[in-house]
Amino acid sequence: MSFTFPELTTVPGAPATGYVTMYAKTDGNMYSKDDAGTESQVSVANPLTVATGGTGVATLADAGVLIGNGTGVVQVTGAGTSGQVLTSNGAGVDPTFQTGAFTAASQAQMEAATDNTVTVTPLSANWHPGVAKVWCNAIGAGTGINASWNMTSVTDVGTGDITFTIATDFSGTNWVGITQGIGTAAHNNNTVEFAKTAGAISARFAAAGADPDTWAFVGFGDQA
Amino acid sequence: MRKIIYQRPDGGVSIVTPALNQNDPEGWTEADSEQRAWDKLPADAINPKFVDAADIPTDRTFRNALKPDLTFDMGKAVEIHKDKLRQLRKPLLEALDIEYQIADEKGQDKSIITAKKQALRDVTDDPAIYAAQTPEKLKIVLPDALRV
Repeated sequence: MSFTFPELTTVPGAPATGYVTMYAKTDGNMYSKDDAGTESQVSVANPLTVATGGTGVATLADAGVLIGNGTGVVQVTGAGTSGQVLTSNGAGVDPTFQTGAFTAASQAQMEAATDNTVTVTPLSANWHPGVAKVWCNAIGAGTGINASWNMTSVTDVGTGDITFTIATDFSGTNWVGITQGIGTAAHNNNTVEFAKTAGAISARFAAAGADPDTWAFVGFGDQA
Repeated sequence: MRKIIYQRPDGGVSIVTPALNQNDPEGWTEADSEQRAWDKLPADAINPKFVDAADIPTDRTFRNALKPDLTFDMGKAVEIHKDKLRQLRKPLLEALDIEYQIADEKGQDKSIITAKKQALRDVTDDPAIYAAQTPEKLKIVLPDALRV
């Protein structure tokens, strides 16, 4: 809906008591005159206040985020820099863009697995008790490694015998090492762990005089 | 990548394959892996040395007879082959034992069965075993009694 007002060359007088007169003048602006004869320019050139549904400001900073301010003018954050996150600065204080702040869990915190205030990182994840510290997929003859994590080597000790040597050792010998010889014979998957230190584990394929097709090894425990 | 070969105090030979891990640091090289494996050799490793992987025999038949110079101890190879013959002989002897018991219960002639059993017992003394001068020749020695 729109209203069209003629631009008056003659300003009207004061309206009757209890009324306000609206009119346009030749300067192109709208005016009001109350019953006391007071003329006021009606304009939206001045920002609307928050109380009347506005922001109270004429401009808003580019890429800023608006911040509530009671009935005061709306506040705007700075744009921040790439990768920053909007961070609370506490009650009554405007938030700001800041570099993401976190505290990476230490090895001790990861091994304790109880702290709920620090952050797991790609590095620290490896220290958690529930995470495998070492794993290896080796050729059945112990003559090669298909894939590995935290290994130093595999040793072909003889037919059906293999030793997995770890890169970063465990802190003692009470770690869990699971070895598996995978093959197609009747003794498939049946292996015997016969020696273990903090840094190595030896296994023997149960089928006498035979190598498995592949070896699998995984170890859990506390690292040195 | 090279491997490491060494002799163990028990006389056996171990062959170490160095690892290239998914979690090795950026810039890690095969030489780094070789050195890491070398540094963690058992303290009792005898005369360790690097060898080219291509120089290591790929036939695993007589792996436990391998010597540090990558040739084979034929004495050990003979024992390995005899163990293999024993494994092949075992089910045949068991079958003949049953045949023997049945013939015995029926009062039949058991001489042929007895001869077969003896032939099987003698497979580990087959002269061809001791005549074989190489692992390749030893590997194919199969006494007639085991040919079924």
